[in-house]
Amino acid sequence: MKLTDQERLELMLEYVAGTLDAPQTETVRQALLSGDPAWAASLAEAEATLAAYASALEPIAPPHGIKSNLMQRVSRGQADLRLKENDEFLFLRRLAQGFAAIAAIILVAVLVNAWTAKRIEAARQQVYADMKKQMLEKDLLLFSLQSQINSNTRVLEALHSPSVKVVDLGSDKSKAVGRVLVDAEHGTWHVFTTALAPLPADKTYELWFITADQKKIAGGTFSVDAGGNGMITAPIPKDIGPVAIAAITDEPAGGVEVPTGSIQLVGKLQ
Amino acid sequence: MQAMAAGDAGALAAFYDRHSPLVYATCVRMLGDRTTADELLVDIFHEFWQRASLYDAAKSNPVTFLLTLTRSRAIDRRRTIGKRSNLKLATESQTTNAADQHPTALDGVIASENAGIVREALSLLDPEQRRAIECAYYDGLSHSEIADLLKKPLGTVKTYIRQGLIRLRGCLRNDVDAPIEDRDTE
Repeated sequence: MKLTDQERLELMLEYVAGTLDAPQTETVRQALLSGDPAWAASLAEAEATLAAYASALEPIAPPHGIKSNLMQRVSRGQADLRLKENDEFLFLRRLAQGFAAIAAIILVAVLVNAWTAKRIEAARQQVYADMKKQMLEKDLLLFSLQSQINSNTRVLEALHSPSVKVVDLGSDKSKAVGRVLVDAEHGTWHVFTTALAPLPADKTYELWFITADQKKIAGGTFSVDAGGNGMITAPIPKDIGPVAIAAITDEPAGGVEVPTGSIQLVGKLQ
Repeated sequence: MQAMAAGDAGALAAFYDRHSPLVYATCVRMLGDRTTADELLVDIFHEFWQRASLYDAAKSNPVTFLLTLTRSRAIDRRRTIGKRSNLKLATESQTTNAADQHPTALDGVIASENAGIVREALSLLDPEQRRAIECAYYDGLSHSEIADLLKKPLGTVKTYIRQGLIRLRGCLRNDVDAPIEDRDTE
């Protein structure tokens, strides 16, 4: 819409006065919405003109009670506003408290859960370690039993062999006795003892082969139970010639290469 | 306005003391009923108080803002209560009862130079021209309604109003002798 300033002002005066018809009113409204400062300035001038027109009226003092009504209403409004702000503050405070409580509960739950999980994991690890230990013990027991079975099997086989030679071991210092099964076919000695005195932890019994030319060859160490019963299976050393004597001495734990202890049992094989 | 925007009720009270007589006179003139005018006066100043924080000093001065608000709300109230048919026509001479008028010491604005200039400008208008403007301003009537009321052609009424407003505006600019174009006259 191309208008001179004067035309725009005239139109705006009628717009503010409310005498324009609907299409013209809409046109002016759209022009004002466009943000054109010329239209805004015309609106301000037109409003000022119409306001000045009202000032031509003779003033009338309003009844006295009206002012107090107004001020009471304003006061109520301010009180309501404060109350509303207070309500909003209380609401926000309660909301914050609620969030804080929820956060605290969540934190406690997380900590309890972590602590519980740690305890459960520790217990599980303990159970696992115990089971592993038990399995190891079972394996060892199984291995031991299997070894005993194998040993006993070999002894039984030796006892059935017609070539096995039995030699008794004895002691002139105690009631201990022993027996040697010489299984030449399998190159193995099976030595059994009875009533040998149990030794302290730093001692062990050791088997010796003594040849005719007095060579002393270690055949292995063994221990005895509370009844003095012990057993050892040892391979017959090769290329040592005929064995003349078998003897059992007490030696330091782990055994030695040359006998140092006293003879506990002894027997002649030839 | 800044004090009112900040919630200073004392500022509102002072503003009310200064401007309520003119606002009240406008309400009485437009509504023709003191009881309704009393209610509307409170509503207008309360709304003015509530909108103080939205007031833009760059767009208008506070009194213009107040009187624009007054006229708008008075027209709304007339339409709401449907009293238009019962109101006295603005074309009738305004009769003011002296007992109803109690100018206060703060009526300076009413007796201001502006009021005198406006009255002078209006006195220069043809009586029918002045009545047309009064119908538009105080009764909120449209061109066609005023034409029917004054039994004048629509174009003539438009011209009356336009010329009157331009003269009024010219007077306020100390431009009383500004030429008035007689456009649209039928």
